[in-house]
Amino acid sequence: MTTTAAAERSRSGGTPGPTRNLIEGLVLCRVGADRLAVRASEVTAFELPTPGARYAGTGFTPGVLAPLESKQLRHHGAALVVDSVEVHSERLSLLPVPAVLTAVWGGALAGFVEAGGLLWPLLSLERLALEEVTS
Amino acid sequence: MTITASPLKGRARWLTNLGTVAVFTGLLLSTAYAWVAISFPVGTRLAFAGVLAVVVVVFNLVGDTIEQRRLSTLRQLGDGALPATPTHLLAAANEVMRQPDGSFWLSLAFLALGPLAVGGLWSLASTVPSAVVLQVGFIGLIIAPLTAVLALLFSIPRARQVLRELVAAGLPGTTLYAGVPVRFVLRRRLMLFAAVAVFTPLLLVVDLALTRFRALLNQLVAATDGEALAQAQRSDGLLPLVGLVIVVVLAVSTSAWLSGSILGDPLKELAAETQRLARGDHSQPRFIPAEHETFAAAGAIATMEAQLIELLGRLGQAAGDLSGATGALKDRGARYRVQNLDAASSTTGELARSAREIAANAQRVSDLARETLEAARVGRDGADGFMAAMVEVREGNQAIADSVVRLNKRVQQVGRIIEFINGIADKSDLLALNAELEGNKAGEVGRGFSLVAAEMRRLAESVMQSTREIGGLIDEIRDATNAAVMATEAGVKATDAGGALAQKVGVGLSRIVDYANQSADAMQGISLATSQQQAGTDQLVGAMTEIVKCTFASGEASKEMLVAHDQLISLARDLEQTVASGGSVTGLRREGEPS
Repeated sequence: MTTTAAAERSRSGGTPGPTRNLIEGLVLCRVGADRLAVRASEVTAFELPTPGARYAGTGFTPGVLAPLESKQLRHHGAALVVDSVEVHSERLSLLPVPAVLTAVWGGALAGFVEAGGLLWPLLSLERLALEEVTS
Repeated sequence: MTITASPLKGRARWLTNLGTVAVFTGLLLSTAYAWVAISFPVGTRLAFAGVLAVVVVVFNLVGDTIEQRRLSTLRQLGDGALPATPTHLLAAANEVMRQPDGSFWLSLAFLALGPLAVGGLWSLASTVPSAVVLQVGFIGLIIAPLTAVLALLFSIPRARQVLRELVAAGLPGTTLYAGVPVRFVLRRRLMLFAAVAVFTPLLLVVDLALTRFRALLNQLVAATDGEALAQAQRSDGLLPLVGLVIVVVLAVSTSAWLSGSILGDPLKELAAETQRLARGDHSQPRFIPAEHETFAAAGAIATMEAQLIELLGRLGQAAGDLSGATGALKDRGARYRVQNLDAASSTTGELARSAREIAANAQRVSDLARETLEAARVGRDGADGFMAAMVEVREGNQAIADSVVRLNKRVQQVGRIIEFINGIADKSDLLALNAELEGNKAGEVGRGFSLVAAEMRRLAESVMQSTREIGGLIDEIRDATNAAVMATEAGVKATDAGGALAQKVGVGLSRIVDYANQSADAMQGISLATSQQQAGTDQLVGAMTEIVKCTFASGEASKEMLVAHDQLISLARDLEQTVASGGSVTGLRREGEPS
């Protein structure tokens, strides 16, 4: 299995196999003291935050306003606001997580990646069930 | 208070004793005369004697009671029933002074009424012819004045003695003289004495002659022959009758001698008293008892003597005072001349020194006033310069405030530019981020693009960082300019307040200049006046020097005054000695006479 094929499976959400442990193209996001990572392929564009977009800080609590310099990750019609973003183009290993934890996240938690000496939870924007926002 | 062993004890009885003796003398004379001259009826002599004894006893008791009652105060003083106060002693003296007259009238009444009573009672007891009774009464009337005069003359010496004893007991002589009323009856009293001396023997002789004539007529009528008539003449001898007349004449002579003595004794004592005063013996005045005009004269002499003694005492005291005052005047005059001249000279010298010091001080004060005026003018000019400087400072502050406001506006414009740049940088950052995302999505093909985008993003972030820093600087500049604007406005206000204050200071300094100018003028006047005063004081010092010279030149006159003081002191001492020696005018010595 090639890397391209693994990436294709990863985008399709299939069961990870031994070839699926490498991921290329991540967007590393910081939200306050927390951090998360999404696949770059799921991000349509970076934008300034729009009203109604979900802020990732404080456990995705609705109604919490984001800082002025925050960025909005557009995923088709939905959007997620974070404090800062960084595009990471290197290939990283995806660390698996227990199925129970994935189930608790509604299947949005794909695993953890290690970048810059830190562990980053990899979330799927598509599975986060974000609300549709208008730009 | 009980007085024991009083010297006046028994004096009331002693005073009346001789009056009783005079009465009994007259009574004996009357009885003897009646016994000889009256032709008693047979068997009636015993009855006459009995009636006479009864009348004498009764009248004596009555008279004695009356006299003792009139001397009640003296008797109580003698018995110690009354204290020997001046009042009681004066009352007793009044009683004593009246006693001789009282004795006179009692004796007169005794001898005038007694024979009438004897004749009346005798006629009742026996058959007595009325002519005999009338003759008894007539004899009493003849003898009564002589008896009364004898009683008066016998009582006066004793009354005088009792008066002396009253004075010795504490009654002042002046009080006695002033407290006893004086009756001026000396002329009547002398006429009475003369009448008694003349008429009593005359009436007795007449009565005797008539009695003898009537007896002879009766013998002639009764005689039968010449032999019987001769026998009758021989039986009626004249010897007893002549003897009685001689006794009466002796009594009258005695009364005349007593009256002369009684009148003369006080006069002799008064003469001796006045001679004593003339000799200069002015001790305490001596009491001289007397009656009537003589008593008044004695009182006047005693009063005069008392006043003379008091006058001499005052004169002696005045002489002593004069001597002391003259001595003090002498000493004081000498001291006064020297001390006053020294004091006047010293005072004028001090006055001259004070005037010079005042003039110097006035000149210094005048100089200080001028310097004060100059300083005030300099201060006023400085205040004016300060005022102008404050105006310039205010204008400068206002210009600074305007510049700061303009700077603030420029800074705000820069801030907007920076915001614009920041917005561009922000959008560039977002654009670079999307480019990097797209490059990343493109895989290996887009890696270089992604790297460029990442660099652009870093540039954009650097710009944004710079713009943030510039924004912070702009904020600081804005705060600083705002603070500068506020400080400048406060400076303008402070400048305005300082200008107003400087204006007030200028006004105050202008007033100070005016006052200092007036003070300088006044001090100039004071300095001029003190200079004139100094000149006047110098003239005064010169005048005082002349006065001192004149005063010392009058030393001879002062010496003459001292000589006069010495003579006055000598005269005062002579006067003191004269007064001490009794007030004899011969003791005074004229000025210049040898002492």
